[in-house]
Amino acid sequence: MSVKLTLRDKEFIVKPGMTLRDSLSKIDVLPEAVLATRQGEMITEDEILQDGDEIKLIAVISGGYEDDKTEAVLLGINGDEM
Amino acid sequence: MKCNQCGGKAVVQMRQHKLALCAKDFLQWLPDQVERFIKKYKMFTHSDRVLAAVSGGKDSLSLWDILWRLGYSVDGLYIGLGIDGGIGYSDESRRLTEKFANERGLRLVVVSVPDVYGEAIPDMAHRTRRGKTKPCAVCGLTKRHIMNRIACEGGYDVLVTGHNLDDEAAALFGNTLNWATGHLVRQWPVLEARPPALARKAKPLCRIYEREMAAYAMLRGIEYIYDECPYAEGSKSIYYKELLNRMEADRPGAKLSFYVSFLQAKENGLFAPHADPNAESLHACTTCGQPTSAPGECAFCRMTLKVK
Ligand code: SF4
Ligand SMILES: [Zn+2]
Ligand SMILES: [Zn+2]
Repeated sequence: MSVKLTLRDKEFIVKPGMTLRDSLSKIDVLPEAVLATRQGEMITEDEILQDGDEIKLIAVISGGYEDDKTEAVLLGINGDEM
Repeated sequence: MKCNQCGGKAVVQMRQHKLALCAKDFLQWLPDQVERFIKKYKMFTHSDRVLAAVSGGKDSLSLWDILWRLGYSVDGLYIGLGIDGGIGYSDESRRLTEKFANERGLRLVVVSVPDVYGEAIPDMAHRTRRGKTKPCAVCGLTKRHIMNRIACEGGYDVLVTGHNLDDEAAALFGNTLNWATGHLVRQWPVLEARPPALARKAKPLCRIYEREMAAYAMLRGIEYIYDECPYAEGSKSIYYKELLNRMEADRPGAKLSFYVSFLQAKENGLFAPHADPNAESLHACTTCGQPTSAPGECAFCRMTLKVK
């Protein structure tokens, strides 16, 4: 009796019968940081995960974007308004 | 969970809006929201020529898709950074961006940094000592320079980027921790053009959660680069986003209100314009003609000259 969740190359096993939200909290994944799909369909957090379910988690947070600016300031080379 | 609009099965739940939607209604709702904020912040109109900076990621490709569907006249700009990272990051993101543009018959301008400036970003960073640990500072400077140059040379009315609410909230968080007054004064959904040759800029996704942008890309079937730039790992912005998302989990809407209250406070005069050290007039770089805060050469030309 188990539900499998995958996130990038990580795999997690949880008990069936919990909601997706509770399962995410069990494996310490922030609900805001992922989208969940089951058999290619996106599911909402209230969905109860059943025995044998395979849930693919898609990471949605990307970085580096504003870092360039922060670091440029630290390095003192952000003289330009751009 | 049911769709609040049609009663069908919801696939996206947005706690901060107390709203759940099915795929069809979500794909309608999100572009409507973007349109609403383009108007609210007077970013641009249907008679403007728009240049979208696209990286091959979910935010920028979805932004391009949305603006195109909304009927704006929008071209794309892809900047090839020459970053491999063992995953062919730049090659793959370029391939996906070109595919996206071809499928929609959209015009894409491609600028390859190694081709034009003779060196890939990591090499440039390495040689100029400016990227001892990470090439992000060099990369950011280069991207801003090229985006502005293409926007001006191409006669575009506005340059748009795919910064979403999480990007903006994370930047605001970082700027507040450092009380980076210059950045706080300038942080706004749209920045006016300034002489000489500083293009007008806008962020049409500034009020859309990052998670919703990923949901849009997925539901719309947009193929985007899922792997991150290898240098993004361990970045401060990711760390700040995580902190904000922890708050968001306990208090839906926390990051949205952090950002929106900031915008409101600014409208009410929280920051005096002269708190920006770069508020004085800009100068034209003696080499490339692009704007710089001090007379002489701009930081980009100083950096690339050092390389040559
Ligand atoms: S993470 Fe750094 S090096 Fe990579 S694209 Fe972003 S700014 Fe450039
Ligand atoms: Zn619906
Ligand atoms: Zn210059």
